[in-house]
Amino acid sequence: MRRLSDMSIQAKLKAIILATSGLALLSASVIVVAHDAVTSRQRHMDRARLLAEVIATQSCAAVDFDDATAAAEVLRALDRVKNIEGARLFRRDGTMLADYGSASSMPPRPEPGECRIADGKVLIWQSVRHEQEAVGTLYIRASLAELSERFWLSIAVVAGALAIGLLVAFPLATRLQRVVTGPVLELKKTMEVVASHPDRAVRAQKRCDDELGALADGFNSMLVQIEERDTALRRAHDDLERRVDERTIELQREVEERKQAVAELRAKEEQLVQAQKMEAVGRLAGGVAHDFNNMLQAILGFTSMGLTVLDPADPVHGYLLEVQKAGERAASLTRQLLAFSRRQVLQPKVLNLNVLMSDMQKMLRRLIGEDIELLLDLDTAIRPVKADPGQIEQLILNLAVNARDAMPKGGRIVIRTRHNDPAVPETLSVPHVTISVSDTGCGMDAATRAHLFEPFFTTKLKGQGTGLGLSTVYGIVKQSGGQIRLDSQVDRGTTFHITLPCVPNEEVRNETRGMRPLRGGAETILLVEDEDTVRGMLRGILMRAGYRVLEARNGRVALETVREFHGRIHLLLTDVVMPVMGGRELAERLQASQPDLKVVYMSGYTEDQVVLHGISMDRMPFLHKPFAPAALVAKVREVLDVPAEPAAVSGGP
Amino acid sequence: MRTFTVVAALLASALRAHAQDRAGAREHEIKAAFLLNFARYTEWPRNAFESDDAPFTIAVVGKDPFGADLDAMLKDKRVAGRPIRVVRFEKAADVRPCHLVFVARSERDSLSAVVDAAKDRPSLVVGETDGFIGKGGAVNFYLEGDKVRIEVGPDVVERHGLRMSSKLLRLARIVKGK
Repeated sequence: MRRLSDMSIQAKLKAIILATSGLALLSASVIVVAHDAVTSRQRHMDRARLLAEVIATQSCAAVDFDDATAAAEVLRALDRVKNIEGARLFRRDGTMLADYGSASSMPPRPEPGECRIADGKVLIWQSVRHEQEAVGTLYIRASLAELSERFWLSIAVVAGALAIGLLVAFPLATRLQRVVTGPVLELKKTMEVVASHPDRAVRAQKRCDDELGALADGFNSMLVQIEERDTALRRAHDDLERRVDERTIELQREVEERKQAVAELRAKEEQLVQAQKMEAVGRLAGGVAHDFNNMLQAILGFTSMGLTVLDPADPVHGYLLEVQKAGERAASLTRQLLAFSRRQVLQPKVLNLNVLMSDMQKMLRRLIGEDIELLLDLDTAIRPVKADPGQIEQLILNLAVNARDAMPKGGRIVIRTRHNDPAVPETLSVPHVTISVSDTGCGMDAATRAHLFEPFFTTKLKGQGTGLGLSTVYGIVKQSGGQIRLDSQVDRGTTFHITLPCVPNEEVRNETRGMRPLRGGAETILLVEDEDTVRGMLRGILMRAGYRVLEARNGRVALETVREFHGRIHLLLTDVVMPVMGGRELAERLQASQPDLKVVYMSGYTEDQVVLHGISMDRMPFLHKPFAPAALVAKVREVLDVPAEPAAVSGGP
Repeated sequence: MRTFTVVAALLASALRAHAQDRAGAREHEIKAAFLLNFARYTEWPRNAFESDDAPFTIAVVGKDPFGADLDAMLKDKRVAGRPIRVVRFEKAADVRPCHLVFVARSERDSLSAVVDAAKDRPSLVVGETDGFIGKGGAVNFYLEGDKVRIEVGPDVVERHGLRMSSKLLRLARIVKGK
């Protein structure tokens, strides 16, 4: 059986109402029945006594007259009274006069004593009197069966009343308990809804103003609080998550940035290492080439002199021609080395690369052969650049030759010019022009790409390449203030992107270098050169051209020579870099006393070093060693022919 | 206690046997008791007595069947608070009015004298002769078996200005009087 506390409130209330009403009914009934039982005993007794008195009165004459028949007749009146079991009349002397009912168990003699109840019987002793005089005694025995019948009847009535009461109470309880349990059940339902759905906008309905109403109110305010806390919690949680996400993204970005920075740093390091390597190699190559140049200057100079002296029919003339050819090849090689090492003196001009490319087109086609298609894709919007046209030609030729060699079975070379080409990253920040040379050849692997610009690095068969082509290109680009980039993959072809800065203002000067016939002169030229062989060679060239030549080993010696010479010196031809007093200082000193003195500088060093010595190549006549004797003669004549213009020669810092 | 009861029962039965031996004597004994009872169950008007403490008189007319028993029995008895006096008359002619008059069987032939003497007086005339009530008597004894029975003429009783208790009337045989 379930415990009362475990039952539902409905059942509990019902049980309580039923139990209470049942108990109340029962106790009321018990009291009534008990009271009835007690009073009805008394009543029975009283009634029996009254009856006895009546009978006694009625029978007193019969007793007095000892008339048993009449007495019996009087007693027979008891027939009409229920529950009388028997009666007996005694005479005055105590003998029996008359009987009623069963004679058995009647007392034979009157017993002194009161009326009493014994064994469920009422026993009445009544004296029969006539005018206060006792004439006999009446004994009546009455059964209490009626009493117990009545008792049981009462019980039955009570039971019936109880049953009916409960029958009435049950539906009443069912109805009444709803008044209490209705709001409770609703509250419970609301609670279940709230528990099963996260949506806490549900509210309990307040139906009454009693404690249950207060409970509903409390429940609702609790829900509101819970909702608010939930919202706050969710907000805090969301906020936290968002912050974690943000921080995570931030961290990832930081990690990425750091990675990128590390990668960039590594790339920069590699570039630095590469640049240092190139620099070292360049320095070495430059040093060697410089000395070579001087030697070649001598070789070529003397050979040239020999050739002018000798009859062309002389077999030695032919030998000397061969010497000259070989010397020129060596000079070319040296020039390339110098270009790579950036020690070449550039002679930059403002030039349109499109024009240059177009001019080169014919020559390039011849160079690359018929198996390879050449396409020019020229951007007409490009602006002029300032560069040495010969160097740029050299650069394009080298790239074209490399492209050709990458395509032994034929293919296509595309030369493209673009203004500020957006397709080429990491270019200059200033306006620039990009020249791209693409081929459809075999491409390069990473190892090849890493060493590509190093001098004497070659993938060609021994004897087919010098290993200087691309290093020359590199040197030219760097020296021209540009950048070079390479896109190449194995079997996908190769593209070189060369980016050169544009000329800031249109200082397009028409350089009208007159192709005049070589002319000598009779002017006096002061030749200053620390290298004896070169000086000798140059003196020979100049003297053969008709000039009078004074010579000196260095600047100081030259000053002394001038002091001792009492004539007019028309032109100073001087080396820039000399151990004792360089060309620049010498020229300034001499021009101090003779402002119209013309000066031509010579150097085997690069532009940078020349500029260091105060020589601005744009303004001053300059010869880059090694130079051809004809170039010297032409240069000297050109300078001497310029009208005396003090401003033009007294420039400088 | 039980022993006592048994002894009492034996004693009672012994006494009863003795009483039956004396049946004749017992008849008049009963009649004597009845006479008293008649007095007690009947109301006499106030004027039947000379004073408040005047005795109740009972007359025995004729040959007295009770003898001294009656006197003994009535001694100390009272009727309505009055002492009882018994007077005896040898002859019916001698009768003087009394409250209750018993006419013995010996006077069966001179009943009318007694009746006449009591006529219009507050007297209850009792007899023991058949047809007594028809001859002007109020109450008459008769025997039914060995039992003494009474018959009453209520109209006679009423004519004498008396009121007889209904209890007594119920015990008696009602006879229409003359």
